[in-house]
Amino acid sequence: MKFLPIHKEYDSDIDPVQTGGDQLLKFAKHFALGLEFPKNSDAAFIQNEKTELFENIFNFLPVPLIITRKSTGTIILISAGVETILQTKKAELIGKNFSEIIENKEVFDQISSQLESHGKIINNEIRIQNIYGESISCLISIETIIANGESLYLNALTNISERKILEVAIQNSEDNLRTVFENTEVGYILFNQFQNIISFNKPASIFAIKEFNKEINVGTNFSTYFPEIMRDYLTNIIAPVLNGETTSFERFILHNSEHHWYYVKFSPVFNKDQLVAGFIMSMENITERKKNEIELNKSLNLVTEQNKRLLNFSYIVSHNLRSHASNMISILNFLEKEKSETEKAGLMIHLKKVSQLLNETLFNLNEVVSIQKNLNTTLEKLNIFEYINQAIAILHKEIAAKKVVVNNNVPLDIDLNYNPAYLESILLNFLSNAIKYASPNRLPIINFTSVKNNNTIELTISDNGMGIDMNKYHDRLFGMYKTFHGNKDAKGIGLFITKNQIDAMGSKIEVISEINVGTSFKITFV
Amino acid sequence: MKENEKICIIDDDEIYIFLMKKSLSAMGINNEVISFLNGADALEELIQIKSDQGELPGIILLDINMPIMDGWEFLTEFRKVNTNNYKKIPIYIVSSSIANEDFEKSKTYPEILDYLSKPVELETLESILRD
Repeated sequence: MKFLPIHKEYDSDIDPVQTGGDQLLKFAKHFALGLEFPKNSDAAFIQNEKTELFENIFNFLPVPLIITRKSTGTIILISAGVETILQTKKAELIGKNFSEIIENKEVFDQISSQLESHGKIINNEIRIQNIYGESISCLISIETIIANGESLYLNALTNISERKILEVAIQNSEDNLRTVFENTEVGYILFNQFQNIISFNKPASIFAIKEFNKEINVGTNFSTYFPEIMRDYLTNIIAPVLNGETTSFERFILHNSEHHWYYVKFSPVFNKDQLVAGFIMSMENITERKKNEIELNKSLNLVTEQNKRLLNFSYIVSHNLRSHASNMISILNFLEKEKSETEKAGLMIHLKKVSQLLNETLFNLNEVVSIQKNLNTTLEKLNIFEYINQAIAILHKEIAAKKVVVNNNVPLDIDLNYNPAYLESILLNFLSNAIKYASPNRLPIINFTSVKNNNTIELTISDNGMGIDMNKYHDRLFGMYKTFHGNKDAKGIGLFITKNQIDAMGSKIEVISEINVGTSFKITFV
Repeated sequence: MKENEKICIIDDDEIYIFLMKKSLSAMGINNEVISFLNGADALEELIQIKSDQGELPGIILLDINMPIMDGWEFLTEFRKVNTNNYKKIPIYIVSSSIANEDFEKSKTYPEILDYLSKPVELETLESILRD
C-alpha cells in the first residue's frame, strides 16, 4: 500500500482549512481518491483495507468534512474537524440527516437545488447548530463522489464564525463611523494624492452646492470646484499638505452680501509606509461663531474706547478744575492779606475771570458728558447733502467774508442713520474750522464728497487751507484745549467735542494734512 | 539763584502768571520775570537771547499742557538751542496735571529738577528760588 503523489488538482502549498472552498474540496478528493493498492491485491481485501484505512484516517482529519448519502442526506462519515466545530462526538451525528443540523433550512434547500443541477457548489454560507444550540457560521462546499457505486456528497466546511463576528464588528464600526461622518455638521472630502475625490459626506455636498453651485462627484479633481483665478492660491495651500503638513485657516465666502465664514482644514492621510496617500479637507461653517466673535470684539473695542475716553476725561476734569481751583485759592489767599483796596479790586477782577473760565470749563465738560449720555437717542434718517447745505447756510456770513468757495459734491441719495444734533454739530465744526484756517495766500476752496459702501458711508471734508503739522500735532489733534495755529479765538474745544460725537456713534475719523497745502478729514459712518 | 538772573515762566494760564508774579513780589524776590503763553514763544525769545550772547534765565518754571508747543516739545527743542550746556538752567515742571504718565515722563529729562503740582505752596516756591 502506498500514498500516491499529491492529487494533480491539489496544491500542497495552500492550507485547505484556511482557504476553504474549492481548494478544500480538492484536498478532500485527493485524500479520498488518492489511496491506491497494488493491482494484484485481493479485491475484497483491498476493499476492506481501503475502507477501514480510509475511515480511520478520515476520522482523525482536522479538516471538517462530512460525507452524506446523496439519496437520503444521511451522514455516514465525519472527520474530527467536524466534531471540533459542533462540539460533539461522531456517534451523535452518524445516521442523522444532514439537514437536521442546518439552522437556515431555506438556504440549505437552495444549495441542494443548485447541487442537483450543477453537481458541485463552492463556498455557500450556511449556519449550523452545535450541540448546545449555538449558531455557527460556515462556508460549505459540496461535490458529488462515487463510492462503491453509490453517489455520495463530500461536504467540506470552513468555520467562519470568528471571521463573521469580526465582519459584524467591522460593519458596526463602519456603520458607526458612517453615522458620525454623515451626521456631523462638518463637511469632509477625502482626496487621493492626485487631488481627486475619493469620498465625501453630506455636509460637504451641501457646502459645494450652497457656496459654488456645484455637485461633488467622486473622481473629480479638487481644482475643478474653484474659479481659475484661485488655482495658484490653492496649489500653494495644498503643497505643504502633500508634504505631510496640516494647514488650517478661516475664510469667508461672500454670498448675496452675506459673509459665510468657514473653518477649513487640510490634513494629510498617510499610508502604512508613512507616505502621503492623500488628504482630508474639512470645512466647518463658523458663521454664527464668527458673528459673535466680531460682535464681541466690537463690544470689547467699544468698552476699551470708552474706558480710554473716561480716563482721558478724568484727566481733563482733574487738570482743568485743578487749574482754576488753584488760581482761586491763590487769589483768595492774597485777598485775605491785601489791605490796599485798589489791589483788592484788581484781585476781584481776576477772581471773576477765573469763575467765568471755570464756568466755561464746566459747560464744556458737561457737553462731553451729555454726548456719552445721549448714546441711546433715537437715530433718524438724515440726508447728508441737505445737512451740508444747512451748515453752509448757517455759516454764509463767514463764507462770504472770506470769499470761500464751498462745493457740496455729495450725491443727493445718500442717507445716514444718525443723531441729527451731532451731524449738524460735526458739519458746522469742520466747515467753520476750514473757513477759520483758510490760507490767506489763495482762494479758499472747501469740498464735501461722500461715498456709500456696503456697510459704511464715507464723508470727506477737504480744504486748501493752512494745514496742520501732523508730525507735531497728530497725537493731540482732537485733545481738549489743544490749538495749533496761534489763533487767539481758538479754544481747542471744537475738534474735541466733534471727535467725541463721532466716537460715541461708533464712527471713525481720519485726517490727512500738510502745512500750506490743506487738510482733509474723512469720517466713516458705520 | 543770583539776584540778577531772570525767572522764566512758561504757562498758557495768564492768571497763574499774574499770581506767580504777585507771589514773588510778596516774598520779596525782585528778579526780573519773563513769561510766555506757550513753548514756541519762549523758545523764540531764548534763541534770541542766546544769539545776542545775552544771559539766559536762571530758572524756568514750565507748564506741560499748552497750545502750539507744549512743555515736552519745548524741552526737546530747548536742548537743541542750549547746546554744549551753554548755561545749565534748572527747570521745574509746574502743572495742574496729576497724571502718573506726566510724572514718569518728567523723570526722563535730566534737566528737570522737580515736578510741582499746582497750586504750589509759597514756601516751596521760595525754597526753589532762593536755592
